[in-house]
Amino acid sequence: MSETIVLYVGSDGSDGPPPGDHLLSDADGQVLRRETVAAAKATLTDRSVDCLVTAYDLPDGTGTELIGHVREVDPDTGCILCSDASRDRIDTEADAGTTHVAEFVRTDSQGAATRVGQLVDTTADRRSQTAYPLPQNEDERLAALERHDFDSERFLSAVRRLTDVAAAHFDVAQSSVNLVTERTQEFLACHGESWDATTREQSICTFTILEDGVTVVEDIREDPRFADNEFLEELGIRFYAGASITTDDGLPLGTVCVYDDEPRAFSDDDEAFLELLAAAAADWLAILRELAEGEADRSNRRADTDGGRGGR
Amino acid sequence: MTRNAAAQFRFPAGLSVDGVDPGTNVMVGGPSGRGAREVALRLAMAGGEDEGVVLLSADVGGRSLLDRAERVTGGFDRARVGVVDCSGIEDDQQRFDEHGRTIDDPGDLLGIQMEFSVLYETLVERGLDRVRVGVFSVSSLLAHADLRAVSRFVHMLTGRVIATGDLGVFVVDEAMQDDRTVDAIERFCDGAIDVRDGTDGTFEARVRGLGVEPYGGDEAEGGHGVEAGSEHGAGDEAWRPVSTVERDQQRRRP
Repeated sequence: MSETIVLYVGSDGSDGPPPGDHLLSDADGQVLRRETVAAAKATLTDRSVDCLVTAYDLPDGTGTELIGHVREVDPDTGCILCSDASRDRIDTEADAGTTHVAEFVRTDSQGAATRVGQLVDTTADRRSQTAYPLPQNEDERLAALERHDFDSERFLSAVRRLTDVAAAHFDVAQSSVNLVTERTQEFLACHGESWDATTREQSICTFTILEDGVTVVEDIREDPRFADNEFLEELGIRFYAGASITTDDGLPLGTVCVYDDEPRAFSDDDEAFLELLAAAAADWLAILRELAEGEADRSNRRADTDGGRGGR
Repeated sequence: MTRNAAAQFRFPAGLSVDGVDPGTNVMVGGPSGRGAREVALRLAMAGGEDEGVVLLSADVGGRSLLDRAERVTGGFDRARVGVVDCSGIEDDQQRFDEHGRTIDDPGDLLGIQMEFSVLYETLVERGLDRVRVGVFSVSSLLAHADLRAVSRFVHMLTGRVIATGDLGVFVVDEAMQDDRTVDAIERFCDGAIDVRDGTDGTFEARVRGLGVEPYGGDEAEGGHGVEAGSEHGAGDEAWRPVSTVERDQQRRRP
């Protein structure tokens, strides 16, 4: 896994978080220190962070304003607000009457530094402020994603054909093959419109990879998990069916999905066919990986042989 | 202060699990919403004198929740119990503001977290080794905030329980929630206790996860199964009668 990156906003000795030097137990972690909302926002434009630790009173705004910004641009980021201000002074409301969700530590409590350290560790390591459940094997799943070459033109051609087959078989205008990465859903191939990546909390596939078998949402508007989902609304999706693309050792990497702009039913036979397509995508991935590993082995052997000859 | 990190959190008698490790989160739901609240309250209050309790009271006023806890447990030391009253109830007799200010809006999740955090540190500073956290109930929070926000809030609280080695108890009233919502909330927890109505006004409970072997029947996959669970029949061996002080007292009355 990559190193933990904490964005620390405030200045030592103020009403803000405990000194940034003690935030991380992970020696390989990195603390980015900023003092203003503007500087923090600029950092978040350039990169993702695992955890935001912020004071409430900042020279050009507030910590809750910054938390609201994080939820817009990178919603899975863990947020910890540190302050000794009373609740009266802290504006807890986000836009349009909704509320912020963030950890809170009073800086004048005895155990503040310890508590912030504990919360940073857990929030970053376990990604415990996502609005969706994570698969139990999420770390292994993410490691498996890194072992595959999803940019391979052979693979992309194959999955483009799968989306064509899916759309024709189910008589829908839109189908796709997707990857579920750490924070996003990427559309590798689309039949119909080309769609841009979305956050995981807007993605149905992030729920699909939690389950064995096929996930069917016959009517998006009737499912409380997705009824208020702006992304799906924007794309005009009312029906969804998705099957996981799973490695031989059971790690779900992505999905094969079909969509419709009106509610519809999905039979057992339909589910079986969609699972076949997902299995075909998984087979392609496995074959290409074996080919790549075989090629790497051959290269290594050639290098060893050449090195051996050179040494004589 | 040395926290009692290794010892298990003891469960009340009558459940098929004696206790769980520190850092465990449990959802309490099932077909009987009233039963779930009662079992969860017993679970939250079952700690010894070295354990603190923080209750988030969104269903009813904080004072009512404490009174219920008193009835269900037969009494406890109030110095080790804190209540975040986020019910929004305006009745001064029901509001509980001994340790902090009440939250007027149950959907104010950051306000709730702030009060929770302050109460938590107060209990730790009093020398209590560890804390049982009870959310009464996730369903009431969902009535005032959207599922995405409440999911993030529950996930965050379960993460805090793991970070601090405490016990989290989350009540979901399945009569108020769609199955898919209940399933999403349950996934943030390590296991679940389902509660249903038994005979003669009693409750029955079964434990899923938390080290309990899956039982047979069509619910073996771990679904919360409101409909199936409400029927007595297949898989009944997993259900156990739950006795409560209040009910025992009622039965003893002439």
